[in-house]
Amino acid sequence: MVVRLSGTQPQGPKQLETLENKTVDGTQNTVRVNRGTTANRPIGPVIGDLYYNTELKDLEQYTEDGWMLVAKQVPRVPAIGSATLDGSNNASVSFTPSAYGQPASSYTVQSNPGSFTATGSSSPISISGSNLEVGTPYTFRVRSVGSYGQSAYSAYTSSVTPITMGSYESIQTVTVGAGGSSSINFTSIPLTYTHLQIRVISRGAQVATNFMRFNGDTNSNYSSHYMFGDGTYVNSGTLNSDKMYAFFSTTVGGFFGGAIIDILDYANTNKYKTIRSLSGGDENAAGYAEFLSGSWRNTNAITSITLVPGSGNIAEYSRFALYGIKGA
Amino acid sequence: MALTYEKIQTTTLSSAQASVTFSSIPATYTDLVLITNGKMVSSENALGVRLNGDTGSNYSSVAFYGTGASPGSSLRFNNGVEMYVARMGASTNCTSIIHLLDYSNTTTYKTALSRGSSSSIIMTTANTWRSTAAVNSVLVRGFSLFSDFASGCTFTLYGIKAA
Repeated sequence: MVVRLSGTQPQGPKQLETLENKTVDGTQNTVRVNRGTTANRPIGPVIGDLYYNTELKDLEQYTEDGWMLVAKQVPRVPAIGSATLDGSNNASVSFTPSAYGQPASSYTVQSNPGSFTATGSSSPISISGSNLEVGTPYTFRVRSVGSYGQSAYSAYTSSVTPITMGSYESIQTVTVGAGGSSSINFTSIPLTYTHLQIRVISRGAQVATNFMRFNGDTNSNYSSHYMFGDGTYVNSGTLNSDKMYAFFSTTVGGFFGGAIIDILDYANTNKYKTIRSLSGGDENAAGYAEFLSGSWRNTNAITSITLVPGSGNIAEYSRFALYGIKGA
Repeated sequence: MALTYEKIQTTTLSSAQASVTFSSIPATYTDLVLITNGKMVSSENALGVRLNGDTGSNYSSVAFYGTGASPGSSLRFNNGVEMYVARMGASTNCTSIIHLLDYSNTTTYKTALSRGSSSSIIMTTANTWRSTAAVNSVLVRGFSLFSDFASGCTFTLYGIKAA
């Protein structure tokens, strides 16, 4: 069909006039359409209506996406789907390309906030999690890209929120209250992690004599070795007993020792259990920095941990935080 | 899922620099962990750490280290003007981990543990800052400004939050 453009300039917005269809030369149709500026496009068009835009000097057709150039039509707006996050906080955005209009050569996904973009040739398209902030809700929209330009953006997806990956989780914390405490107990420890870590600040009545037991076992199934420096000399020792060395603490008021105790492969039922600890504290005239390791000669999974000072109580404000670490 | 172990900030040096400061540290975590990687410009050194810009003699440290010779050595710093933490070499990149425990509490003095190594030494230290103020800034430098950090050094601060 040959489209011949003719007609008169409309005087302001008006209904689209009936198109004239005439047979010319016996084989061709003539279609006469309204013409005018962008501002004077017809009011209330229906899909399929034609209009010659005198500003753009090109033929437009009214589509589901509005007035679009016929000869240089950009692809239609895709229909947005959903956004999901994988285990690395990468966002996967799904959409459905329009079944109409010019074909798209690619699609661009954009985040809000951040305006991070990613381009692909089909749904879904992934945006790297390294761009997304943990704890921030994100929505995404998509548009199609064709030979003559890109469509408008779609609506946004529902929001998704990147989270800290579950490799290190807080399980339980004990803070010692007034009067101190004779022991610290973690019970009903879930077996869903690979390793446990206890992070400690503590003060007690005695240095370097804080012990640990597992699952309430008070038999002589523990061994441990330590090595420390006190600012003047270094020393090492061992203990084969009904408990293992676990960490150092300070004794002078105001000063608190620290410890990071790793309990490795605690849920395994084929191995004796192994711990390692980095601990120490300094009282501005005395103190220790210490490494130690220990074993519990038992293959049971560890479900409870008891920490006890060598004598006296663990002081007020001491804190013991138990964390779980997941392997890949 | 609780937000338990989060990166707060990373600094990568584009040129040699005497010190790096993390400021406006949120008080929403329980512990801070500072991981350093890189090397010194001129010579191997321990690292010095100051908290909240305090340059007074309010720090003390005890260090325990080995160089391959038995049985190892220990040293201490009383009334220092910075913490003595391990460690950064001059010829190869080295990693240190510095734990600032219960940094935001306003009841106790602050405790830090560190461990690190170079091609010639392995070291752990325990440190105290005699202040009950919550820590809101951390400065790290070559101990006693013995050497600058070389270009490419990275410093990453993490926050750990207990339940």
